[in-house]
Amino acid sequence: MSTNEPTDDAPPSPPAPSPASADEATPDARPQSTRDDTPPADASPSAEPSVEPKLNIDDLHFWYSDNHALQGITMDVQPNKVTALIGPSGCGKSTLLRCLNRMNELIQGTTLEGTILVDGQDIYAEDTDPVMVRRRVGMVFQKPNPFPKTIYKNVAWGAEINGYTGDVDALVERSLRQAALWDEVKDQLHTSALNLSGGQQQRLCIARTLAVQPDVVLMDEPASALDPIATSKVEETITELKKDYTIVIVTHNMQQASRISDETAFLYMGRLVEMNPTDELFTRPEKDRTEAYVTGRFG
Amino acid sequence: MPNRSSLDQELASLRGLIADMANRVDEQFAGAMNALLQGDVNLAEQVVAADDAIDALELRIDQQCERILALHAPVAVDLRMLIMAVKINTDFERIGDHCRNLSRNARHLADAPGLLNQTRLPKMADMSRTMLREAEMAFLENDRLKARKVIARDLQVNRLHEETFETLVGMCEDGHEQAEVIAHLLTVSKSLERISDHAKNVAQSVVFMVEGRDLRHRGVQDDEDPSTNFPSLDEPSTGEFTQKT
Repeated sequence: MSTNEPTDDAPPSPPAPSPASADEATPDARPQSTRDDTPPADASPSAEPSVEPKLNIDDLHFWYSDNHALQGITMDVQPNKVTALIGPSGCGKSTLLRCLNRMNELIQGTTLEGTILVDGQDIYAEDTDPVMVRRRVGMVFQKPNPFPKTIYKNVAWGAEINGYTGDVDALVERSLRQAALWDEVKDQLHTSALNLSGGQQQRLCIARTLAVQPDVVLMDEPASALDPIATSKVEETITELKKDYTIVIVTHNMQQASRISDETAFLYMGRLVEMNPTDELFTRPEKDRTEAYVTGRFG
Repeated sequence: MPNRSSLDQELASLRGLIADMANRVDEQFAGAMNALLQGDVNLAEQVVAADDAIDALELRIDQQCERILALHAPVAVDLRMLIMAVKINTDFERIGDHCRNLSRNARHLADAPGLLNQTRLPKMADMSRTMLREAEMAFLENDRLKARKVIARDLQVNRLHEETFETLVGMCEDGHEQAEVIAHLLTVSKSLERISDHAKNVAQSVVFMVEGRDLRHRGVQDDEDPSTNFPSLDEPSTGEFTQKT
């Protein structure tokens, strides 16, 4: 068990998260009753035997002070797939997401147990640098949060601060192209990022995350603040990105999860109820509780 | 996230329409067979005329399905309900068409009133109607076991169809003087066999809705499940049409 104290080694990118929102803090640490659909020890879907998971999460527990927010999560995330985390407010999905790049340890009084491996490496091992973890596992937040600088500077900043010695112009173009924004901004790279629309700003934030060349991209409701057209563009971008990256996305929008993800994990009260290929989870969920949630009967 | 109460109302409305459809088709089937057995041409004409109402109801049910799919984007059991509704709507409408076709034979069979009762057609009609009614009940009660019994019963109707076919062909080969009537009886047998097929389809759709398991075309599916073995047949058919003979 490691208890996290406040730390000074703030990550270069992305910006520090806001403290845990109230709706993510499970009011009661433990479920009130034993459910008949208690998840199996490993609810992960069977994967191709030849493909090593990108992320292994094993018996992960997480506390906000006394609040037991994650209670024994065990799951694998496959490489070059989009994995969606769904569940009602307070189920722990954003907490789980933030555990995947050690963002939660920036919050005072939190405790974590269990292991998270990225490519087999324990990201919570004592000799693992959290800054390196966050470089390998990037994050895109709910609201677009570009820096009040030019579009170019927004993308180049993370790489430059990390001592990138390559061709920064090429890096900026490649990152913007991967984020499907290049064609829209290539003639205004040196204008303020704040002039962009909300959807463009969010894709800029995706480009900024990609510029530090992560393996995994975490997205916390990346389209919830966007209109349908901007949402569609971000979703198309996500679908394109999985060719090169492993993506884990938290979403309250069930249709978005079903549209863009390959696998979906349903969390409830800090536990993983079911994880299955998305088309199965939304057509023939294994657990009654999953079916009740995806059909809107509770939550 | 679906608006649950609104979706529930829409689904209840859809189920009501399908139940209405099933009832109308069942009445059509009874009317068609009684017209044939009794040589009642007036009744046959009523059945033919009533088919338009079934066609109109088919359109209305499809519109309701389209509306729910567009407005509520249902998933899981709700989505399976919609898929089932679209399919069984077509099955019921096709049964209605077969009832209309059966009725159109009434005038021809009136020329040889005893011939029909020399075949297994009344028995086929009994079994087909039992299948139709049981499939309807399986739908109304979400009863997968009842649905599976319907599916099993289809084999018996198929055997009766083959038996009837051989009997009628034999009559022709023996130089029976009512060859034209025999030809109409062949179409009656085929219609009854097709009605039982559609009843089976309805039952398969009910199993799909309840269990999420597709029972069709098991030979080409790679997830053959031994639990899909059908229960034995232990319930008799209604005997409604055979009693009249």
